Amino acid sequence: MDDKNISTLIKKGLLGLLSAEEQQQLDSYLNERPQMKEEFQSFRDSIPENYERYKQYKGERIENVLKDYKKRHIRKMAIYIVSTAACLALLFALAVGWYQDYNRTEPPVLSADVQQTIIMSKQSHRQDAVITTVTNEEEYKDIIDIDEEEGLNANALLNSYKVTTYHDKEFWLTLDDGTVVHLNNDTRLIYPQKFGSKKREVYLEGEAYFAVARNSHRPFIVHTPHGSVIEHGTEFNINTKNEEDETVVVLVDGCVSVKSNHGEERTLKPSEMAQLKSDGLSIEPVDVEPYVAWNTGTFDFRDVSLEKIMDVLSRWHGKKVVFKSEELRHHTFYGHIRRYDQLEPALKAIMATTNIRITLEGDTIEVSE
Amino acid sequence: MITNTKDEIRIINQWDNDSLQLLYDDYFKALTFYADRILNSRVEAEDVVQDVFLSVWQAEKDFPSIAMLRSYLYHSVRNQCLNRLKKRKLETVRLEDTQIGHTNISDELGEDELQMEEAIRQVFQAIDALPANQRRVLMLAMQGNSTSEIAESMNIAVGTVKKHKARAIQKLRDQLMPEAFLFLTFFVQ
Repeated sequence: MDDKNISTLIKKGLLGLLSAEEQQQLDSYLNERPQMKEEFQSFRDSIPENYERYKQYKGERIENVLKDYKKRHIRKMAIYIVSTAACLALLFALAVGWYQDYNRTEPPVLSADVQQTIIMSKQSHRQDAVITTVTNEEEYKDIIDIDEEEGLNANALLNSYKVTTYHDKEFWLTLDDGTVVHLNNDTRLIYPQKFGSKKREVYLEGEAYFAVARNSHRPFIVHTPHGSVIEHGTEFNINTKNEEDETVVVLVDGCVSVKSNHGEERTLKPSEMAQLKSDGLSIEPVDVEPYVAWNTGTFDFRDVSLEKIMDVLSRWHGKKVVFKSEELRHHTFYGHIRRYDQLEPALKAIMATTNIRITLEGDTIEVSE
Repeated sequence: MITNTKDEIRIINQWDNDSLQLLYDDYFKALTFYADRILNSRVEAEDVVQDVFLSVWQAEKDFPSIAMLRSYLYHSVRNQCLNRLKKRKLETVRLEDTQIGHTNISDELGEDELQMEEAIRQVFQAIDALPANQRRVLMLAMQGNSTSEIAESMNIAVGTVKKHKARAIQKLRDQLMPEAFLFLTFFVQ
């Protein structure tokens, strides 16, 4: 059966215009091709609906397509920034219009630095995350210990969203109340579609920078494996992942209190850092810069071991690390590295300050004398 | 619309704006429909197809025949769609009618699939070319409405319905069936 003939039979078949003999011919052709038969039948049975869809596509003169092409791609980026602000403004308007004062939320203002960082992150293809809906316990068991959390029952979390970033991606996210959360790599956050009227609660494992929408009647609470952070309109950084198995909270601006898993709660002031561990809670004043520099696109290393630096860089760039000599691990460094730069210039920058050789061989970073 | 072999020869031999326009007019919607079924997103599908046309235009490749060009277009669209599917992680997928989506996307874009897509493209293009009333009657009939039901919903006489339907079918036959022999030979390799 030649192509031309079959093509005609298919078309006739789709439109219901086959004679009995033609129907037989087509049937025997399709019976040998089950997948094609399936496609054919599903189309034939829904031509009007499919046509409805088809006719919506707008064609344009090709020159316009070319002109539009460049404009469209730049516009996309601007829309992201504009809509963050617009979205916050809208939420604010809704809050004022529809709710009583428990819902008066003042959205955070993103600094020019942060907005710039968002753009750079998108340009470097670093903005990416997986968002899923929490449908069962499996999905949050690793982040939240139900028994530890008082008053939490499994159902409360159903239909929340879980955002996960991979080892080499980050993600900016705006929550229902206007709070902007910047997730670093390897991080997971669970948050509800809509916050409740008494509290705004999220669950974090990893590292995130929160710019919380101000609302004195609804505290914003971040639960972590080691405790929770309660605050009322502020900017702070939480890191639940580091060697010491603790959660580190650094307050940039505003007012928070931190509460350990065994109930001890203390207030944190700006430029203070709290360490929540399994055996207690401690607070000390710090320079916040190295803890929050990542939020504006920089790795800030202050007296950090080469081992730790390589760990951070290798994950961010998706490479392995090999130390040719163990004692090299303990060399410490001060410096900045831009997050959106390529790996090799960064390695060169580190090498410029020392005799150590750090090179990229294929998939692996090699550190040697 | 590509209506004769002269147009086709032009497209293959002379890569200018007009030939690109002809190609675009003929294939844009069908390719978008194809991409939309894979991606379940009209906006993304339109993006993909624009991008593919752009790259075809910029590459200025040589194609020995329309059939090869068509195959290239569908393969490119499909590849871009698959790339987007891989990148696309946000699971806020709108649940569209299941009849619209692809049931499964096999690894290879086979000849059978290409043939199916081309048949669909021609059928839709022919339906597009019908006068509005004839098209409306035809679609209603295909949805299982009886002549009197159609007459009632379109507020016309039963006789008019029959007339529209007959004319629609005749037009479709004329456009799609191989009496126009010369027209179709070019589509066959």
